[in-house]
Amino acid sequence: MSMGRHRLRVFEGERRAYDAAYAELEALLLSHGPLLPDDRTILESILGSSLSVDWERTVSRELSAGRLRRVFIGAEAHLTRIARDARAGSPPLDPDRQIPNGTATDVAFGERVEVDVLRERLVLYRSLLVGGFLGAALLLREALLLFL
Amino acid sequence: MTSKAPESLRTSLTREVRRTRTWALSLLAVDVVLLLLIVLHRAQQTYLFEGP
Repeated sequence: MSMGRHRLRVFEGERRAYDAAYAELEALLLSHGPLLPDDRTILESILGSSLSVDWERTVSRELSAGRLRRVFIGAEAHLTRIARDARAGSPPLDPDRQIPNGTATDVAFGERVEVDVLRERLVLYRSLLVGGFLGAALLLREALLLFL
Repeated sequence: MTSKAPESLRTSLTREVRRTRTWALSLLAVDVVLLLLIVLHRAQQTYLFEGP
């Protein structure tokens, strides 16, 4: 099997996983009812994109299915808290603060996801650095042999 | 004496990523320049020896 086809299969798997996760989140949102604007903002910050964004675009932003799964778990936790607050009769949002009560874990979660992304990027750039260094060494040797 | 606030993991990682990316891109630019030099030199030699 060619490498290209293998990669395509992996990509299709990611799409299916993303599709399932997205449908799950949609069902969660529908079961919760209309979201308050602030809830929407928080959820969007957890998701890292607009809630109405089409998933093609998000997949192209290199969100892996695994990472997406964790993001959805965070969103689910937040929705559960909103529903619990609503059942208890207390307003879910603290009007004096931008960040509602009880969402510190969501913020921490978002930060953890961001740190994961940064770590992945660091690995990528380090690989590029090593590759670039080896390439430069080989080409320099070649150039020296040519010119001297 | 003023004590510096501890740097968050995200901040230090962001700086590390930026620094690594700068180095990686610089090295890749060096690669491209060297490759161009070699190719041009080879082309010149071929032109000199074989004629147009």
